[in-house]
Amino acid sequence: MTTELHHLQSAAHPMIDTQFLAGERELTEKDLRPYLQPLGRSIDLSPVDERIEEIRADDDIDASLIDAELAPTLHRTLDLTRNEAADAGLWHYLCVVRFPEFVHYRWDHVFNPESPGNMEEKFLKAGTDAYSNALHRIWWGAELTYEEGESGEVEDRDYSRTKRVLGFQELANDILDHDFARYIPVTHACGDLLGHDTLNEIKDEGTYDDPPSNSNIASRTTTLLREELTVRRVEMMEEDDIVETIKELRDDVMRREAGWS
Amino acid sequence: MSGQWGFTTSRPTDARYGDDVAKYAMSHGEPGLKTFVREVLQNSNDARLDNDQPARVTFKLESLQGDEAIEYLRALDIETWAEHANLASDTESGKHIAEAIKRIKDDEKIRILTIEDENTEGLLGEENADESNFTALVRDVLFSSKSGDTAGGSYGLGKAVLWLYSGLSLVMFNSTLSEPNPKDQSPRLIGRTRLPTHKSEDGDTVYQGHGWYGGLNGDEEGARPESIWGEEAESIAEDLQLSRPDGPGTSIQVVDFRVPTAEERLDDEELADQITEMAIEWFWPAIYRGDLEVAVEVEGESKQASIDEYPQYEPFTNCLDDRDDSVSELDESGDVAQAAISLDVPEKSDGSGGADGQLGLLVRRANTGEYQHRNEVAFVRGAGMVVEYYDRDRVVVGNQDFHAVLLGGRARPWGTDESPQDADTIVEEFLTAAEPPQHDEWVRTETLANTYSRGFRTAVEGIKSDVTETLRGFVAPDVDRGTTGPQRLGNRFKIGNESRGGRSDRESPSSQRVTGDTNISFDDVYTHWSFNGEVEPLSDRNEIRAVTVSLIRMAEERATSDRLPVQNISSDTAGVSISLPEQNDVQVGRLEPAPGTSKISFEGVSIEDHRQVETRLKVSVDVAERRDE
Repeated sequence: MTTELHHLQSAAHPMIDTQFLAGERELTEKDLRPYLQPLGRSIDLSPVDERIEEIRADDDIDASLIDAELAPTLHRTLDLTRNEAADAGLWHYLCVVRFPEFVHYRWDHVFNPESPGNMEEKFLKAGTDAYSNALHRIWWGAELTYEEGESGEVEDRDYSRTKRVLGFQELANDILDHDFARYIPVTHACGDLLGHDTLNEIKDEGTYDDPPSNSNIASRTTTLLREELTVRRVEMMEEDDIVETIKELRDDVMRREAGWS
Repeated sequence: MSGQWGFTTSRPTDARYGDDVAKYAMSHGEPGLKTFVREVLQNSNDARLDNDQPARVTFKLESLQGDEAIEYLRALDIETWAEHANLASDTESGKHIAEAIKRIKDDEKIRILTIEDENTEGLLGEENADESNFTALVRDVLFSSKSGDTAGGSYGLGKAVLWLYSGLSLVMFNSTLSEPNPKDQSPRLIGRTRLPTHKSEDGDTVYQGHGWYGGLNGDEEGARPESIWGEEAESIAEDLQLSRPDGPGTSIQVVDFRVPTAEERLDDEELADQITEMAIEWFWPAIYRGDLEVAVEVEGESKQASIDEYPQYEPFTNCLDDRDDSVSELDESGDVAQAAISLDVPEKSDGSGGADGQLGLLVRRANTGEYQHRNEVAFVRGAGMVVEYYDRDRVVVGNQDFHAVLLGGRARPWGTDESPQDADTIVEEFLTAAEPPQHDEWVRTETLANTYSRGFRTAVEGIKSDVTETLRGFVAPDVDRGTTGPQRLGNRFKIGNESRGGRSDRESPSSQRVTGDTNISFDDVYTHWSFNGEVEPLSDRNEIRAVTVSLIRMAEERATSDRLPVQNISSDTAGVSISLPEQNDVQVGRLEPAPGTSKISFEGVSIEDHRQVETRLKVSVDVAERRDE
C-alpha cells in the first residue's frame, strides 16, 4: 500500500505538545487534516515498516546502531530528490503521522517533561538542520555518504560508509550538525578517515602512545576542521587537499598536539 | 517681467560645497520614490491649517516639449542659471547636473513635477526671519521651524529631498499665504538652486553654489534675490506652469524630476501610479481620518488617491473602525482586539514633562486572502503617517495571522470617543524625538538623549518587545508549551565583536546591562591577536565589578568551545587590579576595578597563534547596583 506524501504545515506545531512528545497521545492524519498539504507523490513505504519491525525484533542490535541499520532501506525506499528532501514539512509529516512509533522507539530516552525541546526537535526540526529530526538525519546521513554503484541503479548503491558514519554516533553528530556536511568530499573524507576501523588500525600500529578515544579524535578533529574553515573555502579545495588537511588535523589530535587542547 | 538668478559669492577661504549636505543626509538609505512621497506629504500634512478641512495635496506631472519647453525655460531665466551650472559642472560633483542638461537637450523635453497643497499655512515669514516656514523651506539647511510636538518632521531635513529629486538641483516655489505675514500680497514666488561651489570664468569670483530666483533688490550689491509678490508673481507663475488656486497653500515645482536611484526613467503614468500607492501605503491614517487628501494629475487628468482602491490597507482601517466593538479573544477572522501598552516617558532634562503614557495596540485576525502586510504592525502617531510596518511574521509561526496598528501620542484614542489627553501629548513629543531624520522608526536618537533624562532608552527600546509580547497573547494558540524563553536577567552580558558587524540581537534590550566597543585584530609581526575594548553599564545606578576577557575560536556557523589563551592584559583605568586566571584550563584576562568605577577600558594580546583561524573577543561583565560611597 502506498503512502501519499504530505507537507505538515507549521500551523500544526502547537499540537505537538508535551503529551504527544511523551507518547501519551497520537495525532492521526484525520486530526491533522487541516494542516496537511499533499505533495502529489505516493511511495510504498512498507519496506521501511518491515525493516523497522526487524530492527525492533532483533535484541542483538545495539541502540546506537539503529540509525545505521535503517539508513540504507530508508534512503532506497524514500527515493527523494534533494529538493523534495529539503522540505521540512515532509519530515514533520513522516515523523508525526507516519512513523511516530519509530521516533519514540529511537529517541524516548532523551524525553524530559521539564524540557521537552530535545524530543520536540526529533519530530519538528529538519530543513537546514541535518542533525535533529529523527528521519531526516538518517536520510541525509545516507544521502551524503553513500557511493553510487556502477549501474547507477538504486539497488546497486553502496551504503557501507553510511553504516560506518551513522554507526559511530559521535562522528555522525559531528558531521551532520555542521554546515560542511553538505559538501560531499568533506563528508566522505571524514567518514573514511575518522571511522572506528580506520582509527583502530592506526592505533594498532602503535605509532602514538596512549592516543585519545575514538570519540575524542572524531570530535576534536571535526572541531579543528570547522575552525580551519573560517579561513579556507572548502568548495575551493581539491579532494586530495581535503583528505590531507583532515589527516593532518587528525594526526595532530592523536599526537595531542592540537595547539592548546 | 521675469525674475532672475543671483548667486551668493564667497571668499576663496570659505568652505566649499561639493553638493548639498542635507541632500546626502536624506539620501542615506532609501532615496527611492518612497522617501520623496513620504517627505513631501509630511511637509504638507504638518503645515495643515488648524480647521476641519483636510490638507489637499496634488502631484502634477508634466513633460514639456518644443515651444512650450522653450517658453518655460525662458521664464526660468535658464540662461543665467546655465552660465553658473556650466561652471559648476566641471567639478566632480557637478557631473550629474551636466548629464541632466545634456539629457534635456537630447530629448528636447523636460519633466516637471509640481506639488500643490491647499489648506496649509503657506510660506509665511519675513525674508530674513530667524524662524519661519519660508526660511525653513527656502533658505535654511538643517533648520526646522516646525512646532515640536506633533509635526512629522523635526529636523528640517525633509525639504532636502526636493533638490535631490531635481536633476538640475532646482526647485521653484509659489505660495498663497494664510495670514498677511510678512505682507498681504499673495502669491509669493521664489526659486532656489543648489549647485556645487564654482568660480567665475575669469576665476576672480567664487560662488558658493547657492542661487535664488527672484527679484533683485537693486540698492545692495551682491544681495540675494528676494521673493516676487502679487500680480507680478502671478504672471511669472503662469509662465512657469505654477499658477495656484485661491486658497492658502504652497506649490513646489521640482524641475527635471527624476528618482535618483531608479534604474530607468519611468513614464508619467507609472510614476503617477506609484505616487498614489505610496501615498496610501504611508498616509492611510491621515487620509482615513480626513486630515489629508492626495491626488495625482497627469496630462491634466486628476485622480484622487483612495483607500478603497487599495484593499490591502483595509485590515488596518478596520482596526480603527471596529475598535469600539473589540473582543477579548480573536476567535474569528475580522475580530479586533485591543490592548494598552504602557510607555513611561521620562522627564526632560529640564525637569518638565514625563508621564506614565500608553500606546494603543489594535490587532485584527486576518482572513485567508489578506496576505499583503500580513503579520505587520503599523506604527502611527498623531501626524497620521505610518512610521514603520513592523514585521512580526516570526511571532505567528503556527499561529493566527493578523494585521495590527500601534497608535501612539495623539493618535492613541483614534477609533474611540475619547480625545487625546495631556499624557498623549507628552508621548507624542517623545515619539517625535525618537524618530531619526527619515522618520521611519522609533529608536534612540541624539535628540532623545539631549532632551530627556535617564530612562528614555529603556522606554523607546522596550516598545517593540512589549508589542511582540502583547501580540503573542492574542495570536498564539492556547496550548501549554511549557515555559518558553525565561527572561534570564542575569548579571552577565556578552558584547559581540563590533568588527564583525555583529551586534547580538538575541538579548532583549531590557536585559542588556552594559554597552561598549571591542576590537580584535591579528598582528602579523608578532603572530598574535591584539585586542582592546571599553565597557560601561547602561545605567548610572550600576557599577562594574569585574570584566573577564576570553578569546573564542569560531567555526563556520557558530562559536566553538575552544579558547585561545590570553597572554597579557592591561588597563589604563585607574585602580584596576589585573589577573590572568584559568577558565576551563585556558588563561583568560580579568579586571577588577575599584568600587564606584563605571567605565573601564583594556587592551591585551593572545599567546602566539600559528593557526590564525577566526577568533573573536568575548567580554563578560559583572555589573551590580552601585554601592553607597
